[in-house]
Amino acid sequence: MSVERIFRALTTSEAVDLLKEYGDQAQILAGGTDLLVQIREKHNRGSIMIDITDIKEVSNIEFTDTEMKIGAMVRFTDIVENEKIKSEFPGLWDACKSVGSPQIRNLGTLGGNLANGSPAADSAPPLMALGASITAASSDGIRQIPLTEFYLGKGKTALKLDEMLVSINIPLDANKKQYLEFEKLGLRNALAISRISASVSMVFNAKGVIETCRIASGSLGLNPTRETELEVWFVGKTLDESLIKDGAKKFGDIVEDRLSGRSSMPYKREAVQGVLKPALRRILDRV
Amino acid sequence: MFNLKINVNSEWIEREIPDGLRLLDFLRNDLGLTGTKEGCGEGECGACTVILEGRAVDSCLILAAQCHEKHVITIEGLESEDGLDPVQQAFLDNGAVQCGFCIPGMVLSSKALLDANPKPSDDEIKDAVSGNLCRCTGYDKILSSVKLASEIITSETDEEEDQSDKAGE
Repeated sequence: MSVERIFRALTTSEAVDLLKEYGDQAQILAGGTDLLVQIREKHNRGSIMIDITDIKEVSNIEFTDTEMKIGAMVRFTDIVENEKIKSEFPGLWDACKSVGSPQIRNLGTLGGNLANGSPAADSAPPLMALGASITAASSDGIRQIPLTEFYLGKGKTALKLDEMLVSINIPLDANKKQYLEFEKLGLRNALAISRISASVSMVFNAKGVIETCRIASGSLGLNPTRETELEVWFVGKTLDESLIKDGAKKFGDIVEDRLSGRSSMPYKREAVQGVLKPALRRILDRV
Repeated sequence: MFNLKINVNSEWIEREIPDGLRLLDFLRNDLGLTGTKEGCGEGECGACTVILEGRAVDSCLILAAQCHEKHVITIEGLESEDGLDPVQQAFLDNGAVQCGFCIPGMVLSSKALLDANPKPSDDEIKDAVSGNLCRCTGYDKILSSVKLASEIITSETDEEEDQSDKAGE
């Protein structure tokens, strides 16, 4: 449908009040790189746009000892230009750098990438591997939603109609060095919608044994997903080249079972190994 | 209707526009700045690239109202009293223009890169124009033109520094 009205919200409370007032007629407009295409095709859900471009309180990346908080208006370029993310969370950096093209990254936001509920959101697997959650605000207050409970099937998320995603919250532990890597397959470098991706986060104990492991996949099913069976398999083992090969084989077996009977299974069974191995090898190089 | 105040090519403009108007349509239809092209209309081709607050963006993917009180540079804004921008001059001198449809976007993506990074590597140049498609496939001369523009810009800066060094002596 055509856009009847645009409101430029300058604070979060202004935006959520507008959401409450206009209900299902209203949509949050952040970077707009997906929504503008929907508007062009008249596939947008609401005719009223609540533009959050100029809400300063959701435009920053903030670090504390226990958390990294990425506001809803932080654009992919802001993340790519953040030296701390580049050096400490290369898997998140790679995923954000691989989104779209420079022009898309200059507009598109991490929050929008999640809130759109795309199964191919490049940023979701590394955020899941980091154990991220979403802060959603409404006029009734705020609540936290773990990213693992955020996706409810193609295009659907746990956000209610009167809720706005205000930040992505990533727990940090200053005492434990976390290694995060990401790998994706795409059709070409720029602008490719991700085909299959995987992100791995590992923490090692003093003896080099894998103490905690979080793995998330993208574009395998309806939602980006934590690969819990594979995570459990890795814990307690020592990362080396033979473990990487065995782990990749294990991932292939899990995907074979999960997608059994689907025509895409033989391809995906192999492809997941092709994304897991380089991610693990980069962790091995850095440990 | 939305009362838009926007700075286009260093000039503040106020217009009443429909709320759902894309920046691309505002530039082309309301301001007559037809150097900005519409190719795909969905952010794949980069023909509609403009510079918004110093960054290259697809003007088909943003509403004009979202640019309220912001600065936009289009291809028409690159030429100054001194002549063409070094990026434009390099594209001309190097014969990088074939059908020309992608060129305004290519030039602006290159301009945004060189403004932030006057001496980019080959990979940085390729990355900067990775969101701009040329259907004539003239990429080689486009890339060498950006390198040429980089040389022109950096030699100008060096000359200025030399002159100010001499002035200081």
